[in-house]
Amino acid sequence: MKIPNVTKAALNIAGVRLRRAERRWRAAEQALGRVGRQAQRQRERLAQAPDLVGARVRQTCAAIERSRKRVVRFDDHVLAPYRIERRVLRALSRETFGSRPIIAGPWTSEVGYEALYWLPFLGWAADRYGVGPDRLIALSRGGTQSWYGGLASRYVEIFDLVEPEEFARQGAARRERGDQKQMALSEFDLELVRRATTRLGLATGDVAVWHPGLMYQLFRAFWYGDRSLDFLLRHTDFRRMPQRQKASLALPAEYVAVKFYTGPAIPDTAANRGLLHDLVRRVAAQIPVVMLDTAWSVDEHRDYAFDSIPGVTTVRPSLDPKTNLGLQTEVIAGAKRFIGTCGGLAWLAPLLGVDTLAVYEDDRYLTTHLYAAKYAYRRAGAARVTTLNLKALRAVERF
Amino acid sequence: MGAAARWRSRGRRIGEQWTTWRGQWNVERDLEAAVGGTGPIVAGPWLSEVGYEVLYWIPFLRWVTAAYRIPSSRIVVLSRGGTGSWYRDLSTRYVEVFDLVGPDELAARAAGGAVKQREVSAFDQRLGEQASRALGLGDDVRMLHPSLMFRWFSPFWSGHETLSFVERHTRHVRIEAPDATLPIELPEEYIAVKFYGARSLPDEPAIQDQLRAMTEALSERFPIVQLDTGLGLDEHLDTCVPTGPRVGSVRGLLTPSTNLAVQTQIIAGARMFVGTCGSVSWLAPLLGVDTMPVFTDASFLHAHLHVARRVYPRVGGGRFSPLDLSGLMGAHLVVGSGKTHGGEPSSR
Repeated sequence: MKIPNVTKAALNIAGVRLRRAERRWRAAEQALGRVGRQAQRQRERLAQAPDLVGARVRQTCAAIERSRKRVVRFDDHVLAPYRIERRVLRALSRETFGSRPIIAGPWTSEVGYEALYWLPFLGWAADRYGVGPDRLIALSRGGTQSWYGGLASRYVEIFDLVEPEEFARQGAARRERGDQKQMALSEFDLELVRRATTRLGLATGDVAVWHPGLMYQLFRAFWYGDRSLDFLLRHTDFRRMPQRQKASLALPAEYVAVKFYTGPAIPDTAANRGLLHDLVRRVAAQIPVVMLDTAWSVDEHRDYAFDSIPGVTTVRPSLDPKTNLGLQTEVIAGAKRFIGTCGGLAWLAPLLGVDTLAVYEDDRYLTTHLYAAKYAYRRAGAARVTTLNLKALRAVERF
Repeated sequence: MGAAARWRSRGRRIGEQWTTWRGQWNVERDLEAAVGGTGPIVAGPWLSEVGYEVLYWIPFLRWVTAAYRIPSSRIVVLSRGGTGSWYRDLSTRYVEVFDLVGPDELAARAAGGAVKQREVSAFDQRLGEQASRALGLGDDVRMLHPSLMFRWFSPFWSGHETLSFVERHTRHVRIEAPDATLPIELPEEYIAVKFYGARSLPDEPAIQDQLRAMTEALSERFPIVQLDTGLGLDEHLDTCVPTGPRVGSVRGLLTPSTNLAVQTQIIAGARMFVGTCGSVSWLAPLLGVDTMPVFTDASFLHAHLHVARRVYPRVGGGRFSPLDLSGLMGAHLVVGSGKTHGGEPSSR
């Protein structure tokens, strides 16, 4: 039997409407479920709101604190060194302006910093600012004129201006003030500059000053690890010192120059004395040893003396404050090798072309200098500088 | 220096600085891509030297996990020689490279000069995939490759970056010894010794004499345990010092997959470690053991020695006392024997 089309159509329409209604019902059901679930979640959120807000606040505070620390770190490690560099360069430039003579100094701190940083720094600054030796006046102590050869045509000896006792007293006072280095121009430094200019027949206003504080400020960031080795090498000019005459003293034809002094690198202990004594004895068994110990001290270091060992002589009687460093330099320059405390003249000897064995027990304050010296000296074609760690030696030596 | 030369020099400097910064930004971008998402991260495979691993790679990983707040559950360490304990604070999941490839394949790569992983090689990629398959890590696995660390710190090694840059991007801490099964019975007190031929301590007769004298002197104080593995897994060959009743050795007793774990445990129990400056001599101080790394050529060591001298005291590590034999040899002194040997012409 045939169903009429009208009936078929009605059934179809009804079916379609029924299915549509079903879909709508399901959609409504789902929507209601969603709303219910959302309401449930909102209720849960409301219940946890205080905790959530607390956590969010804590997170935000921590993020702010982290950011603040990052900014401080960035300022300390990146911006501050740049600011200091700009300040130092401006100061150098300002002092160089015109044609006034420039006093480089007064150098009153350690020999090591003078040899390893100050002289190469002066070399770089003189080159950068076009300052010839005729304008530069070195102001240092101990007869170190030869160290400044090629840099300064004139040299003023500090011990011609003040007595060594006064110099030592002022140095001790500076250290007591917590200024181990010459970070700033002190009253004493100013007085030395005044006396030097008077001695040269100049008025104080007629000279400019390149104070060691400029170098100390510039390189402090490197010593603290906030400036790269490349930065140091860009602001220094390491050069081997020219060949010089043999010392006027009566010395063996071939010898090893030795200078050990107390300090943080080799504290004055019985064990260290024993090791150093044995080391000098073993060296003296092969080749004469010339000790560079002095009878006085103008700083906190004291020299070790081992002249009782056969084969060891000392230049102690020939040294006086005004010429001692110059004379020691001559003795080292004529030596086959230099062995000494890591610091002081051990940084100078390689630049004199003398292979150097730098000895230490504690390298806490030496790591950056060792790092710098090994790279810089190799680049400058200086003699070899090697190190001897007394702690390591003690571990394997038989005494 | 003329004005033109000064400007040229400035220009060159700015160019170099720009290159350094651009390199660092690229590494940062790659680093972010490597640690993004929430899936597992395969840290490695580490196939380079032990020294770079303990002095830079592991501390770098610690910094990455702290800086990017990566939970340890995401990290899977992929290294070789049973070094899981070195990474203990980073992750408990460790995959041994020697479980994935044979030692011969690795040794051949080292012999071919592929020591430093400055880029992701197909071999590294394969190891990463094998590791993730072995642990069933799924598809969403990322690789934190050692090349990122090598690229990150290379400006420091070349002197263009600061030490504080390294310090800011590393976290050094003491390392605990593993609980490995030892193949030999150890004396109650002993000195661990590991000498091998390297650029820093070449295998030359004069140096051998020094090492022999030193080992003899040491053995008079305490028994010696030599860590000469004899495995030949890299380009360095172990140096044999004289054997004797007070000198023991692990030669022939180690397997590639645990050799570093065993060496670590032996070093951790030693009174002192003495060895070529490199490899496990960078590890020993982090185990709290007094260490005497020995070298004659420090040309490639300056930057690492600089870092080591700063880091070890700060983490309370063992005393680190480098011994540069070249200075003593130059003065014709034999360390350990308390005597000199001929050579220096004497005028007396």
